[in-house]
Amino acid sequence: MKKTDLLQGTLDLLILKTLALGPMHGFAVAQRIRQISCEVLRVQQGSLYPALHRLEGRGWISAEWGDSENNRRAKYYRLTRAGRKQLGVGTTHWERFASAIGRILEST
Amino acid sequence: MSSWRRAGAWVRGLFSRERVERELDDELRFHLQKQVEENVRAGMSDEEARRRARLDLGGLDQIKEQVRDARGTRFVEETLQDLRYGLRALRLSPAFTSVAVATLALGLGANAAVFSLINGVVLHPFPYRDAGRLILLHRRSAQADLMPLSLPDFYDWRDQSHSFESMGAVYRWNPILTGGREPEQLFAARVTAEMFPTLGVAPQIGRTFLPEEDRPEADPVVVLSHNFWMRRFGGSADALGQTMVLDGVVHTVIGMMPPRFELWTADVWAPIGQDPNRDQLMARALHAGIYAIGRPHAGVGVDQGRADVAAIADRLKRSFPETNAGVDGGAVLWREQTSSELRPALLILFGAVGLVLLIACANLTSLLLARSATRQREFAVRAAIGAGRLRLLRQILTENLLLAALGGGAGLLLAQAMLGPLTTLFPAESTTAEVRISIDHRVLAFTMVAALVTGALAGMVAGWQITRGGGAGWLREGAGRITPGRSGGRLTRALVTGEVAVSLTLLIGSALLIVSFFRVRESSTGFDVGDVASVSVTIPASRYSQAHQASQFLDRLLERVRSLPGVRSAALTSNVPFGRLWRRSPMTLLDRPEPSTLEEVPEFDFALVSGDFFPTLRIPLIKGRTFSASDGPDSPLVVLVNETARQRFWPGADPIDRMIEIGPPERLRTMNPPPGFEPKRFRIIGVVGDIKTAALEESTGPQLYVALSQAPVLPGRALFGPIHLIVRTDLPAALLVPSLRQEVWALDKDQPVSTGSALSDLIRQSLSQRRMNMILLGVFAGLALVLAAVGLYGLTAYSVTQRRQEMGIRIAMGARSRDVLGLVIGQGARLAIAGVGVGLIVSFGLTRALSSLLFGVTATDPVVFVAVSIFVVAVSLLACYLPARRATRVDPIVVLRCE
Repeated sequence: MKKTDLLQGTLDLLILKTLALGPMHGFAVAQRIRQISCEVLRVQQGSLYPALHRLEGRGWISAEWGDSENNRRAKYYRLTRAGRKQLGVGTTHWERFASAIGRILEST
Repeated sequence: MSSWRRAGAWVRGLFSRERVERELDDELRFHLQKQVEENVRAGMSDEEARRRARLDLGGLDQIKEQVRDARGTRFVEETLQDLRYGLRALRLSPAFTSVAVATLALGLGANAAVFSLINGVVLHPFPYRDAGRLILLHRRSAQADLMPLSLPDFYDWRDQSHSFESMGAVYRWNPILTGGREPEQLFAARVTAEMFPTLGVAPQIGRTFLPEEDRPEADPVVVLSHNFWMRRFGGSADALGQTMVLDGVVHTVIGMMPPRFELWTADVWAPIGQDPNRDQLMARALHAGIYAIGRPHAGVGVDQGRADVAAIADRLKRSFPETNAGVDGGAVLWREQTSSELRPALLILFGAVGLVLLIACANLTSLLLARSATRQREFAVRAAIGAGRLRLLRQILTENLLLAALGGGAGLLLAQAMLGPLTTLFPAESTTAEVRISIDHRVLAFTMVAALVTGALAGMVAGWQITRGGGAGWLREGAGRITPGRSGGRLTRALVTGEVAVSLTLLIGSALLIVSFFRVRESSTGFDVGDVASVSVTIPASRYSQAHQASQFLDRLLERVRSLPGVRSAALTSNVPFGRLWRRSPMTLLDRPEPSTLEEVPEFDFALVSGDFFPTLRIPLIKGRTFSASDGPDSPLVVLVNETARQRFWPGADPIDRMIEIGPPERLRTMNPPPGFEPKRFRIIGVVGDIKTAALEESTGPQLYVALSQAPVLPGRALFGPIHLIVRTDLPAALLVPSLRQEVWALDKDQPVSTGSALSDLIRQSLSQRRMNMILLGVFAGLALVLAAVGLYGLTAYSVTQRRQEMGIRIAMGARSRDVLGLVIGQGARLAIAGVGVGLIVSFGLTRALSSLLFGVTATDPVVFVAVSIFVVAVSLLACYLPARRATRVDPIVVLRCE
């Protein structure tokens, strides 16, 4: 996997996980990721929106225009069934990947 | 989402791009708003919040770009954008567009026209199923190829071969249709029952023959061709089940074939099994024009089929030595055999027209290069804001493919318009009747591919040059250039030189063909063509019971015709010069020892003629006498030979009173002659002049004439075959033909008469293939020269525009018009002469390819070469002169002032 693929894959996973909590618009997704990671992960808008559209193209999330809190129109994303399944797969992969790296780093 | 819905969304995304863009805009704007709110809540001022938010968001357009990338429709979107842009650019420069499209249309149209010829004649002459695999089976002998079979041999070949899925036999049958207004002799054929299934075409209405119907005892049936059905029955479906009287026998119509099915150029088909002469046809020695068509098994090729029948023929040689000793089996691909006459010329024309397209492509490239000079700024700007070279090339390529598509469409229209004259020129008799020349889907596909390749080629070459400089360099090059820009100058000059060379080669080829044509036309025929008309009469076997009744009819006909006003003389003959091929037979010269092998036996072309044949055609009598009334059926048999025969076989001696036997010497005979044709001895009574029998360019061979009154006859037939009435008249020949037919009917109203022709028309028709080649190559060569001249004109004009300042300075410093002209034309002249030089060298090599088509002139005739070269140089100089004149009119003050 190329470096960008790895990063892309990670961002996709984060977005899927965030949307698992419920439908939200792009800004909210970025905010939530920042919050939960305690400000460690700050998603650039330049990567966020391409990622959202890519996930939409793959059919893992679906989008809908709706009214936001202050009655402005916003595009809301939600997880699809295929996306939920992908989330499970991706999480498993990630855990396996992380533990593998951990093992390598521990062995000296 | 299922993959179908995803694909649908992708397509929708493609087409409702505006809406998608707007939504993305809204989405990002919303994000920005929220960020601003967030910043304000964090304590920043309104202004600070907004600035911060913008910085955070980054380049909106870049985000949009990346979203578009992620969407995956980028390539198609960009291409669509290029197409829209290209269309607009073409519309905005109508002069360039029209010249470019016209150039392409001429080149592509010519190619489409020639390809439609090749498609119709060589590739798909037949409407039969999988026609490319059908095999024509024939007899081969020591002397000749493609000879007909005998019927028993055919049945053995069919039953004993294993390479063929099915095999049918066919031969010419000319029945007389009676019961209608006029008796009509039909051009028809008899076939075996398996022939229609072998060809694989179903009848449009009704059915074809059942195996039970291919027998003598079956009820006579007939299948109609589409043309005949239209002509005689008006295309009505009631024709099915009706009856027709052919040769006095009532036939029932059982089916009608679809259009374009014209096996053996027949009006109708009837089963071989029902031929009343079938018993005579079952003689192995008789080769009565029967050919076989076989469909090989899947995977079997023509070589296997040939080996198969050759082996069967060898077996038959052993089983039937008296009749089959000289019979070898042969097989060819039917499709190849029908195009063999025209194929060499068509391939040459295809090569020529390909060269014309090459010239058109070169002109297009030069046009693009010239136009690019005005678009350099545009490309420089695009390059500066990040367009890679590949992206720019793609844009140029897309524009050129657009141009090519337009040119291809225009070319097809041009080709369609040319189809009419092309079909008129086309020598239909040189190939099979089923050939259709049209712009069908294959020609369409070919033209589009040629257009795209041409456009891509021109685009790539021009694009490569255009995008070479690099961004900054272009922006720097201002308009104040004194010397011409370097973008592609050398390339354009090389292209023009090449164009001149190619057009010279084509023109030389064309000139050689023109000279050949006129030399052939001038060739002497050996007789006086003048106003001679001819009609033919075939007397059916059933008409007269005795041979002498037929000759009485003919004699009375001659008398009546001679008394018609305007008729100078009339005669009868079995063969008209330039009509159907003359018969050829080996002859035994009885005044010398027999030759030891069959190859040494001399062969003569012969015809059966009445005494007035020679005075009517004004063939000179060189020695002795011609036939007279005293040479009747009971008198001693006499013949005439021609001058060539005399020189070849009796050099320095007198052939008069020597004896000849028609047929090979007994010892060398490969089969027994049919009854009634036992060899008889003839005395030579005279020598007549040579005549051409089939083609003006033929070299005359030995010819022999037998008196019609002494002609041998086949049993059951009154005459040897069709008899032609030839008449010399003071009136134009064509006017006499109806009167001749009336005279025949006045004597016998049921006697069919052919539609007649004038001899001069027959001769004209014999030239039709040569004429077509000459005209087509001439047109293409002319086209090439015009395109090359346009290219040269364009180059010079462009050069003049670029060098306006230089001209201005020169004129200001005292140069005269003559000097300026010389300077400008000099450049073009150098290119033209270089082109002519290269062209001459190439022509020396290439014209060899034409030698089979030439007559009376060699492939390297120096007069032709020099004359054409001078012509091309003159045209080139003219093409340079016209724009050069503009250079002399440059006002130095105006030019030097505006930078």
